[in-house]
Amino acid sequence: MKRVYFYIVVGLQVLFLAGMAYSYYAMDVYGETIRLKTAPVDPRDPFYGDYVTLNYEVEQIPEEKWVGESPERDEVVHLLLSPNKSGIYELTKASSHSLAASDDQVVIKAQLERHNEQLNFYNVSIGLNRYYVDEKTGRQIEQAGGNQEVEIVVAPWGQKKITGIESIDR
Amino acid sequence: MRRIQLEKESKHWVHDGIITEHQRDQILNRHASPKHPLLFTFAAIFIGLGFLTFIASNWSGIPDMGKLSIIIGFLLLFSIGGEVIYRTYSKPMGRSLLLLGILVFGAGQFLIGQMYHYHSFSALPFFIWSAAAFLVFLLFSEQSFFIAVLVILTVGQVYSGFVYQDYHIGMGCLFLIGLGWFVYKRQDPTSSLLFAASYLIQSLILVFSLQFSYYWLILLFFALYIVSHLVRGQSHLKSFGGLAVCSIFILNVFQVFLLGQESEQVEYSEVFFLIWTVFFVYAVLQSALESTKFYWIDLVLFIPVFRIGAGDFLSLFILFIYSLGWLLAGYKRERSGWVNKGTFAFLFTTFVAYFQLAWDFMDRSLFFFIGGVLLFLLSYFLERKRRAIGKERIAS
Repeated sequence: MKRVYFYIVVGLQVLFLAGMAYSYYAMDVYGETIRLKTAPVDPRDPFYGDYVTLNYEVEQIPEEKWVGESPERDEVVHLLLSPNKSGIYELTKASSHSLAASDDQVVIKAQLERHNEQLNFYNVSIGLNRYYVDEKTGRQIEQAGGNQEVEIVVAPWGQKKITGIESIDR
Repeated sequence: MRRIQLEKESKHWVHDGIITEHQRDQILNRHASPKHPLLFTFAAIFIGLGFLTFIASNWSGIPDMGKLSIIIGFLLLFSIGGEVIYRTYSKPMGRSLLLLGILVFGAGQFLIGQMYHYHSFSALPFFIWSAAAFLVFLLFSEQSFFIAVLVILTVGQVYSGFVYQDYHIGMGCLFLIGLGWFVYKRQDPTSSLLFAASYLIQSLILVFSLQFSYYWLILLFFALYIVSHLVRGQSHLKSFGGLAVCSIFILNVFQVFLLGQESEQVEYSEVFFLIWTVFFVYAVLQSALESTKFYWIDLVLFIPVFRIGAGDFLSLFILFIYSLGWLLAGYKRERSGWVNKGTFAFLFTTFVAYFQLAWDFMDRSLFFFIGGVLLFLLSYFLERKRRAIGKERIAS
């Protein structure tokens, strides 16, 4: 009997690891695709050989868009995003509590990095600040200087990934 | 006699008619060429290492699905192979393979997380890893798996504290309830000691990552001390008490340097004093009822002096009472262990006091010189007294 339980435990481990991989691919099927605009990156050279550092406009939350009590550092926060006329998603409001989204809106999770009290905004990270690329394309992205659109897939279970990146000439 | 030698020799025995051919076969079968488990193990390790370094050096070139198959393949190989070998061939070898299986699961989680750009908001991966390891420990109840779970939990909690400034509740529960239950059940001194050490590390993480005031540590250490004597006939829990006293002693030393002359203007939690009072009254009653349970001398260290004012001076006072208490009790009852403990504590406290009082206004070289002479004289008198006790004991 002990053997059976042991094989169940090993089976669960394998299922868990395989599930981690599966959910990544399943995002393409079940997830919702949104487009976000990037923000300028500090340091100046965002290219680290195999990945590019990205910041997003939605990661800077003005205090007036914050709902509820002020969050603490490293706390998980929820961002409610809605599309603008050109289809790029922008921040509607943010809170430490979960937020309800209408059909065209999405909620993504982020982590508070700091509260900039002089400029009255919160800095958060949505966890997609590294985009892994080839050496050649990395330089091109870097030269675009933070003026890009990033295509992101958000799964119903909260997971998200970058599926594409392009420069905007507008 | 070696088999080759025996083969040659026995041929002559058959020829001379001492034994028959059948008997010779029987004798030779008894000397079947021995197995070399050690050599096999080394061979397996070398092949494994060769394979691992090959994979590691080509890791970035392998497609994601290939990496996933390698990780899962190794997990299955080590786990199933380990179980089969544990059951049929050799327990130590099976154990090592099963441990490798646990390791591969944890490493696999992080590698797959990295491959698919997972972003974690807490130390959840460590919790899942420790839970899996705990299940394996439940099934095999081997001490090495207990240690593995303990190490994963402790490292995970430290990681959680440093990276996320958070104490992971799930891991905390698994530690206290899951491992705590086994410490209580198995009554093994080594497991208890490791458990207590991990408890102390986790106490620090809990208090500092959640930004509680340091004084909550007094309560956490006190809880460990109480538990060490709470259950009748659990002598393996002695290490709990020892480690708790060491920790609270060090805490008092910190108080000597960090607390000011005046009571600090901090809001002290009522809950703290309420729980502290319950603990203290319980311990004092127990020590009055049964002299072998708690020692009042230890209890002195747990007094929260930070509230009263002149905390630095009072902490020093407490440390001296503790040291002298053990010294005098040791002389009175002629217990050399107690005398040693008191001596060490007394010398250390004297050094702390000297450092605290004289560092600011004395010339540095004079400070060390006088300090050295002071300690030398003290240790000389204490040692003489200790030897005198030893002699009296022999004489009596």
